[in-house]
Amino acid sequence: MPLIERIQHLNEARAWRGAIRLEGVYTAGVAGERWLRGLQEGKIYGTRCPRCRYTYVPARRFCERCLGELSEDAWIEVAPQGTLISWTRVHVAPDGAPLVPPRTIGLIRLDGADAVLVHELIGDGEWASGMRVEAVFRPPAERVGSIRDLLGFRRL
Amino acid sequence: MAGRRVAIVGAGMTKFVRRALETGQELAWEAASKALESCEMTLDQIDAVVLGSAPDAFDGVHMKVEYLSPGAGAWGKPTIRGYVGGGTGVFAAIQGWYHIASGMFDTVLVVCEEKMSSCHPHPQAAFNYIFDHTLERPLGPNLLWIFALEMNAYMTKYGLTKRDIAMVAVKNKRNAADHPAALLGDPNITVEDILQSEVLAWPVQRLDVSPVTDGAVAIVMAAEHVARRVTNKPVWVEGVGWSLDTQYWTNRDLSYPTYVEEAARKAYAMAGIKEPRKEIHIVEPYDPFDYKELHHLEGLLLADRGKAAELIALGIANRDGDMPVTPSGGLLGVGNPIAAAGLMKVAEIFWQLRGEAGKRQVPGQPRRGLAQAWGDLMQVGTVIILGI
Amino acid sequence: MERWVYPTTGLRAEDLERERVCLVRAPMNGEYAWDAGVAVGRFLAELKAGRLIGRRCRACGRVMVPPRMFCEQCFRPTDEWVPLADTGTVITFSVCTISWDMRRLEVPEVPAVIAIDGASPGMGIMHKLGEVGRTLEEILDRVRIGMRVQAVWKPAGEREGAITDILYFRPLEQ
Repeated sequence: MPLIERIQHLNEARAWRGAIRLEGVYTAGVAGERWLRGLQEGKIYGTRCPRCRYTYVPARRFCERCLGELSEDAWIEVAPQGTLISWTRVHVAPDGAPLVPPRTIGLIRLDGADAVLVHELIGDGEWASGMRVEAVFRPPAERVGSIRDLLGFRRL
Repeated sequence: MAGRRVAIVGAGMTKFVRRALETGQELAWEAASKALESCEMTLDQIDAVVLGSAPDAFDGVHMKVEYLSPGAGAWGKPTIRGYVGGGTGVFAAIQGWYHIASGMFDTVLVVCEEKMSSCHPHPQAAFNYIFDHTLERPLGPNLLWIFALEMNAYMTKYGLTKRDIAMVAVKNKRNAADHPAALLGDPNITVEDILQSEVLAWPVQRLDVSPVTDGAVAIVMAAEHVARRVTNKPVWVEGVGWSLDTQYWTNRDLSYPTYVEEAARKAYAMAGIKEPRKEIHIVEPYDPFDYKELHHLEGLLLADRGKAAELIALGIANRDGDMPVTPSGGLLGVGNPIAAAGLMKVAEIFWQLRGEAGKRQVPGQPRRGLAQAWGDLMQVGTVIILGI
Repeated sequence: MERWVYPTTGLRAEDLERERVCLVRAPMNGEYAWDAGVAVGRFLAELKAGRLIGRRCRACGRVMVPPRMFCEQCFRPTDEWVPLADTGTVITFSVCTISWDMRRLEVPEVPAVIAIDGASPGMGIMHKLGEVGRTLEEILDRVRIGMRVQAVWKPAGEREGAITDILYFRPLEQ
């Protein structure tokens, strides 16, 4: 079933067609900038709130639980290995077209983190919650400071 | 006065910048954490959160307020988004007021944010989608059209000149030179600078318009028993009002903002104000364009129709005049991150009444001030009156 | 209050252009088919036939354009279609020298609100004026609020049931 229902047989005389053409150009933010530069170096950082004892990955500069600042000493490197919390296989593209081959998307809790990260799962076969996975980075020369510097996660 | 007494007890804001490295969430957090710090409160003392932000298209984030919520301290709290376009900043404070006045909550954190720099090729593009999709958008409009059309109607009806109106931009940009968060403060700007700036959509020229801006503002509001514990200088909400005109803007009298008058009359009645020109000591009317400040002063009944420009020309609206208007520097000077700009005006009245406005302080210990915002398709007026 | 202003990190345009900071660019390409609805659907069909029409509310007596099937003041259905003239009066106008994405236009556009003859006073629609000059100075010299104007239609065979079936309004010969 397509995610977007296609409307057929519009009465052309009574519908006005148009498009919304905008481009979002997004900065990563103060914490995001540093976190992405970390990925570029092959490192995954988190920030740990000492008050709430919660570690955010991706790293943030404030704790949403207490609104306290997560300053320099809150930054820690987390492991590139973690546990698969949940996963899905996506067979339909956002425009409703079939996606061949399908993509597999996982929620991963890296060792040392509390928050989970969403990313691609790499490799064939079945996946199961609780599996151990590890990060796969692009070769250093291809990294640009993007979430795509991580290709995804594969079975450990 | 309806409901329980409500005070503003703290305020904070980001510097207003043309484009921020910070994400919208981070901007919200910078303002929210400053506001809490200013009244020595922590997030666990906040009962509910009100978030305000203008169209999602600016930040390019659908359901923007849900996205912003972590930075606004909304985690695990009752949270609501108010949205009346450009009128949002003042409306968010009104929402904070009724959350507490109703007896539902004792403390509310109100946060407004806008990150317009995300929108390319220009934030103007996002405004195209406020025009009627079938009858107006095919004509290829841009946002400036409606302001220019309204400004021309106003100027023509009352025989005002561009020079009369440019004096507003001069006053506000000069006032903003003393605002530590300002993007466009300029102590030396002159009427000639405004009149010689590039024509965008006559009669609107470049310096008649407030700039594209990123920023956030937050205030903390509290019920009386909490407010008296938190601070010895609570600033009370004395009156609020809001009203909406028809969306059919081409059917309206564009020379007068009836909806602002309706909102103001509600707020004056609630505050027990009979003679607003004597009883309001400071005004922060919404000034995204210079003529709008004049338009709104008239709608607020603080000037006769067509006569607001005289307040500016005679210096009555200066910071040391009889009725200071936009002592902050306003949207024209401090900047216009839409919803945040409206809440900045509320924060300015708060700081002025507490005597904490620094170099911008209005002399004579003002006791009552009014902030007003305006928006949607030029159709909403939102008014709040604060007093000590 | 200076203490309560956070020193936010401002970027320059070139920081983005040269990608000195991490950026994500994402176009939003929403395509829509907006239903014209009952009142505007009929209005568009009449435009195709070269006519303007409005809608009367018998409770308040207003003849409204753009037409709607309900009166937002009386909050009741409107009652009947009213043929309008294709002439009117300029309520207000602007001379726009930039495009929607802030590029300069070679020839300025002249958007206007035009009160349509046959509708109630002040009932305007947004459109453009034409044949009024090619520079800001020329246009300001020729156009006045209160000026009488008339629609210039596309040839009948080229009309498609759109507001652009009227090319523009031009000054009416006195």
